[in-house]
Amino acid sequence: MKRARSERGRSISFKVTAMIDMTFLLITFFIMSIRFGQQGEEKITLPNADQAKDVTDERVELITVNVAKDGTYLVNGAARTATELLRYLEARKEEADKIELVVRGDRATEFNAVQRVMRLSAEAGVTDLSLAALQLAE
Amino acid sequence: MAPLIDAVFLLLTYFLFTISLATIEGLLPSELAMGDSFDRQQIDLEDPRREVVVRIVQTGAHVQYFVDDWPTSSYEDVARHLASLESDSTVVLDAGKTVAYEHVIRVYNRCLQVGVERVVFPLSSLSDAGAPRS
Repeated sequence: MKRARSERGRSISFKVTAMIDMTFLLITFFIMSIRFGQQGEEKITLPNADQAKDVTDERVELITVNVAKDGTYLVNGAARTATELLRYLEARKEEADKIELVVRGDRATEFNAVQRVMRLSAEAGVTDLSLAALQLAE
Repeated sequence: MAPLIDAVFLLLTYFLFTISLATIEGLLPSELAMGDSFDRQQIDLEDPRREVVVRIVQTGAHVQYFVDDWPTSSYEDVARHLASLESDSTVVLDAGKTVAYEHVIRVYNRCLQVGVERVVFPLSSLSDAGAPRS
């Protein structure tokens, strides 16, 4: 780094090593904690529920269905109709031993849209169902 | 050295701006009640456990809660009622079609807060069978 010379002739050095260490630590922290959302997820504003728990059983395959504010169903970023969603769930049910449906509903969407997903889930034989929420107080 | 530091600071700035993506999400396990109504036959009348039906109806911005068909003045009333339940009680959460999802989750979350873990969603609204008392 450049050394400045003061009026009295003493050099002032700026030590960057500690700062770079700190910066790399911060970047490492951010990289570890970032969670890249699926396409379409950013449109969903989840409701708050401080009782929501983390997923613990890794043997279960999670299928995520996003329900947008206008009631649109989004799976892997693609909009699906109720019929398409039912076929998708049935196909996934045949492929995997144990699956769980995660419904990510927008907080402002009408409950009817979420209830329809529940009904489709039951029709497809997927009985394990969870509702996603932000782990924040109301 | 200077380009490296530039790159590092750019990365840091990027992560600082995108940190909101990492908001922690959790799951609320739920149970579905099949058929047009909750299967009351399965509940033994001698069983001390209680079944409470919480209905939510929304008209415009106004949200009305009913506990066992009786209207309540506010969500706080429902919250107090739920707090009085035994932990092995069953809450049937029956929300109208137009109710905003956040109101349903709010009641569900309250049930879990007070230790009532058996919360059931009827797949069809029980309200369709008969209007609640008003």
